[in-house]
Amino acid sequence: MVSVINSVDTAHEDMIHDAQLDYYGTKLATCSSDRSIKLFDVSSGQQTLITHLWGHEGPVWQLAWAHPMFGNMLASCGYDRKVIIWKETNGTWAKLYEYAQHDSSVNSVSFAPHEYGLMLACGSSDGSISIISSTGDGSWDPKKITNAHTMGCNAVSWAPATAPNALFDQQSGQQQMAKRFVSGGCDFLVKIWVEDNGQWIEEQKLEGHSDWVRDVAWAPSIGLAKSILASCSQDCRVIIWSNDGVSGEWDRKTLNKFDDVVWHVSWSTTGNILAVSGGDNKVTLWKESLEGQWVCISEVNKGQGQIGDRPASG
Amino acid sequence: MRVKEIDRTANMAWSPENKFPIYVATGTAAQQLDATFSTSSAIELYSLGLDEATLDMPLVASITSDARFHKIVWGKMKDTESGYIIGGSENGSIHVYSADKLLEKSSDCLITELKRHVGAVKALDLNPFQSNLLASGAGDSEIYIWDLLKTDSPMTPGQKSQPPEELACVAWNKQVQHILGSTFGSRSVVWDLRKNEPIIKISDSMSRIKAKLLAWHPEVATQLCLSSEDDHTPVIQVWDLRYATSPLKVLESHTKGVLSMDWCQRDPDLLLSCGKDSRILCWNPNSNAPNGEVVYELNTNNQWCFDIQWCPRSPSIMSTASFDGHITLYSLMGGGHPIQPNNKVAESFGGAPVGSAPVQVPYEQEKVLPLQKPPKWIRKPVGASFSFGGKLVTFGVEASPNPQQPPARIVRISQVVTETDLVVRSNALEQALNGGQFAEFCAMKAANSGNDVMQENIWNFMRVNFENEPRMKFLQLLGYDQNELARKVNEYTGTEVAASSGRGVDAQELAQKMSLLNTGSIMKADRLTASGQASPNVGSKTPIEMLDNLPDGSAAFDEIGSQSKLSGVQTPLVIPTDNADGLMTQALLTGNFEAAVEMCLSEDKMAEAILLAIAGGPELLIRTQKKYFQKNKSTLGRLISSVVTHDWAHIVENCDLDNWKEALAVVLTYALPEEFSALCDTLATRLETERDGALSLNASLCYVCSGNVEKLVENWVKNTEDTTQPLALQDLVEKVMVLRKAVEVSRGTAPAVSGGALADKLSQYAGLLAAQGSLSTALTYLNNSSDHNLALLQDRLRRAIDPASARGVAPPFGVVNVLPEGVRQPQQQQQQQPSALSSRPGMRSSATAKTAAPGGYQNVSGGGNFQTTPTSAANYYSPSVSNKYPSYPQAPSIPTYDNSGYPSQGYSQPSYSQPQPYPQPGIYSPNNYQASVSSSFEPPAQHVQPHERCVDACSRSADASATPDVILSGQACRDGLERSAHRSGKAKACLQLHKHNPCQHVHAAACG
Repeated sequence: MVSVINSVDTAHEDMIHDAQLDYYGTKLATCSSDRSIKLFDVSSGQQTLITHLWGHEGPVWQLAWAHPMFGNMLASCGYDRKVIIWKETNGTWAKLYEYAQHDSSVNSVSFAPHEYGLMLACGSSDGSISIISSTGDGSWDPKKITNAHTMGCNAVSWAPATAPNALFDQQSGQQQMAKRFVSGGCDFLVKIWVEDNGQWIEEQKLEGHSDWVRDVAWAPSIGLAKSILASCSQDCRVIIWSNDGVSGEWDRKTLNKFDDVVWHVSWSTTGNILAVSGGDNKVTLWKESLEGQWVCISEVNKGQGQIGDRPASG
Repeated sequence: MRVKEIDRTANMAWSPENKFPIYVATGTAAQQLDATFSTSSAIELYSLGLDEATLDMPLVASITSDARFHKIVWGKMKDTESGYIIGGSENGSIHVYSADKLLEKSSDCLITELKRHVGAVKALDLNPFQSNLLASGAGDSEIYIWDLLKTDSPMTPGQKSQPPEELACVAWNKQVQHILGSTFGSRSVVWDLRKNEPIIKISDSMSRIKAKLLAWHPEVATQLCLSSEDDHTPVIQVWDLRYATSPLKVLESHTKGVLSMDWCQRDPDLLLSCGKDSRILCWNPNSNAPNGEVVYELNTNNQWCFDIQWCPRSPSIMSTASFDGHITLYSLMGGGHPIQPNNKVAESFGGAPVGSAPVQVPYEQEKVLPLQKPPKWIRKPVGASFSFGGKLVTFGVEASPNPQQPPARIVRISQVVTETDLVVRSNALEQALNGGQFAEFCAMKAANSGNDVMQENIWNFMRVNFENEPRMKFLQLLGYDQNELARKVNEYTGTEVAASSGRGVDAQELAQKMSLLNTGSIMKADRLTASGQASPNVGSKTPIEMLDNLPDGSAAFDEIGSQSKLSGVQTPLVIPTDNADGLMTQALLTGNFEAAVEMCLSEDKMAEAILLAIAGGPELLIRTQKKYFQKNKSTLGRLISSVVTHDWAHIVENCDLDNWKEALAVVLTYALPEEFSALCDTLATRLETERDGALSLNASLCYVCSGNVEKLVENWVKNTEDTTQPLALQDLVEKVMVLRKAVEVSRGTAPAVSGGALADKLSQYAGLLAAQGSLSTALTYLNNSSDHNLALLQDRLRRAIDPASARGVAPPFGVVNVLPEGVRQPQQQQQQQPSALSSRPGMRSSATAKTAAPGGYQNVSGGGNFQTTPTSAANYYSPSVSNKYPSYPQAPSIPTYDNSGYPSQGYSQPSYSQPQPYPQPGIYSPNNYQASVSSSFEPPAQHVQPHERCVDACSRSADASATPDVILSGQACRDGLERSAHRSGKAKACLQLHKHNPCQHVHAAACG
């Protein structure tokens, strides 16, 4: 059952490009082509505007909330080639840090698991990916992967800090997890990046899409025995990539071919349901059956939908 | 930004939108010469090769041609993978190639040559709806429509336009498939192929443009652009055919004639143009800005471009073909490759000029700004993101109720409940827990367990925990119903003779089962001596009532005693005097019981030895028992020894696992409260570990009996195929919560959850509930937890439910105050260690301004605020807390009996009834359980003391070697009776019991 519990009229003056709830699900952040970001208090069904943030000089594409151990912190990126980190201090939201080292639209921001400290990855249309980290003491350290995706990077998503398997711990006994994230780009590729001695190197290049990869999402590992990624593309496909950690190979399975471009994929916090947003304004929820087939369990229309197993339509 | 480059002076075409990977087809350009002055001609295919970080594009196919080309188009074609590549040549023929065959490098890739045109074919276009329809235009106003599947008879769109002029462009409408646009030198004509005539001639009387190209609007059927290559009017006109008297707008920025333009199919707001002024411009043709809005100007060092095209599949790539011999691919979004020096012209003259080595500038990056206005294809219109608590945040394109108003910008937060069953069941469980309806809940679960006998059993066991005398009822559930047994004994003794053959099977079965308890190991002697104090405990409140009946019972004993004496008198007693018997006689006569016993033992007269030992006092008896058991390794003997010596551990440790149920029954019947749990657990552990866990599932019953929640969880984890399945987890949590409640009921406090499998599972379960939006319910499963992960979830749930409630409360993780760039931490916060953060979270803590109270945000190492109650489930049946069991100083068993259960005549003759402790030899039969469930669990009217049954059984076996077992059992029996008599203060009964020595039973048996 999918039922609307809160409908927020953001009053943005142009198209909304992202909407994200914070760690607790009580604050909603939205961003728009009107160049602004809005924060709403949505706890207990209310929808009170907390603040209206201006700072970008173009459409704001994506938002990411930091873990609350860093306070109330939000990152945004936009067509103005900027990444901005916003922070609340004494109830006031203000720009904390601005990163402007990209040559083109920054399409995606994603905070690393908080276990790694404050760290975020940004993917840009200039083809590069930046990894910005701070120890919190006022020093900010950006690293850049140039030519990560020819023609541009559209999405980044971090691997969970708790690896489902020991494969990734190359040196046995080493507790520190290798940091990893996945990216998708206009070269139709999905790539996995791993940090090695402070350097980011390409670990995997996953070929399967035949058009721009619009979004990638690394599933939370809760209760799952393997690493799982979802990618979606202009080619109307969603692909589920999985790695059992034994062979090290990424298995490719097409979840579905949709009727329109797939813009966005998002895993539930328990990692077992995938929400797919298509260009035809359709949102569908997918779940892996016991037989290992991905089935559409719901079509969500204006926030409403029924839940029920039915075979994938296509 | 430049992405790729091909060194060719050629016309080009992108592979169709459906084709992947992307290729570029080139056909050597007519009327142009590159620096090689070559006049040869070829069709070539290049792959885009975006994954290679170089400017080169790999050449994948090449085929020579007899003519050079003015125009190349590439369209999809049914029954082909890659479609057709079509070239309009300088000699008037149209070459049709199979792209598949080209890619296969096959030599017969030229499908056909269409030869109808007289002059050079400069205009070609494929119908976007029917890609087999090709429009071609050449000199003399000739336009043909070809069906590529049937090329012998091309159509014409209507009568030739007059005066005859060379066609510069043909273009199909993007919305209406039978509309074709065309441009001649001085005019543009739109044809309707259904009517087979020109429907409109576009001419602007105001500005005399020389229309070269026509481009239809990608979405609006009636709009088109015309470009002028006249240097005096270097403009692009936007026309709407509904008002075809003058252009809607004129895009003016080029300073010389426009040579090429392309309207982006993915975003109608983008139109590319290039001109003889060497500029490459991107317009928004829909903008109402005066003279048009240039949204982008591409930096280029190249010469004039005569062709410009959007890549149909990857719209931020576009191609240009320039007169200086390059086909160049650009990205409009920035991104690209380092510039490589290009000295092809020099190379074609035989190498670099002397003294001017190529300058390498490998990493100089062109800083090209992207389009001012983001193209449609990067403006994400929809999104659905999950958040904590199963919330889904969605937004999309909202239909506007009124076209004049902008659409509403609405974000919806929805609750996703995928596990409806889980939520329903969780509510039911919560209700039961809150309402205290535990037994009802268990009964409901048992009734609804369907065909799953194991589940039903477990739930019945659970329920019993909430009833009086749980252990008694556990026994019943195991199939040992004491009432039933007593009844059967009665029945049996009454009809013994008639039914002996039939019932004899049962007796043998019993013996067989008991013999299985043997695993062949030698019993530990120390247990024998150490366990003398204990006696069976059948938890029961009944003894008081029962003791009221004692006078009758003792009368019965008296009677039995007198009968025994009588029988002794009736048979003349001959006292032997020779050999061993003689020695024994001497010893007896001299009162030397010890020597007599020794003699008996050496003569293998076990019964006599034990009888004598009884007379010789308790110490001698124990020694004798020990020796007997050492000698008698028979399985039955060992069971009896365990019962007599209260060595239950021996049974649970050594029994054959097929008999786990019997072993559990023994424990339930006899074990002391303080050892009960441990014994259950020992048995359970064996069930789990031995035989590769084949019987592992049964261990859960043992854990239910012992109230060991943690172990129950571990057992479940081992025996459940997919522990992540929500409903499986629900099953477990139901059991765990109810069992914990049972422990709480019996002991007053629930066992704390302190990590381990249980904490894991509860955390998982709470996570599941949280994911279904049942935040408050989830929170109830996390109370009293000291596990860090649970504390994290708990904190998250609290703040999710009501942020205000947690204001000022430190979260269970350390908080880092992140400072802006260049700002240093204030002095008072310098105690923080900057190095800590980089490795792990929660190391650094500092007071944020919001909660500046000292220590408010200090590092909480996880769960410090949670109370821990160190308790162990092993104390479940602790007598000091339990109010279910009368707590006796020695915690003895309470033997109960009455007249009917202990018929006097049963001892006067060898007609001992055969008890039936194993009514169903099969492990569990559902019928059996249903029977016990349906009964209302009234307190048993009669409790046959287990020892008595043992004696009966031994006697029944009528086996001489079993006689000592009877005695020993009888001894234990007497112990029990005696204690209960003592306790009730009835000295008389006690006395009578003393008189009534169990050895008489032996006599009775021997007589039989």
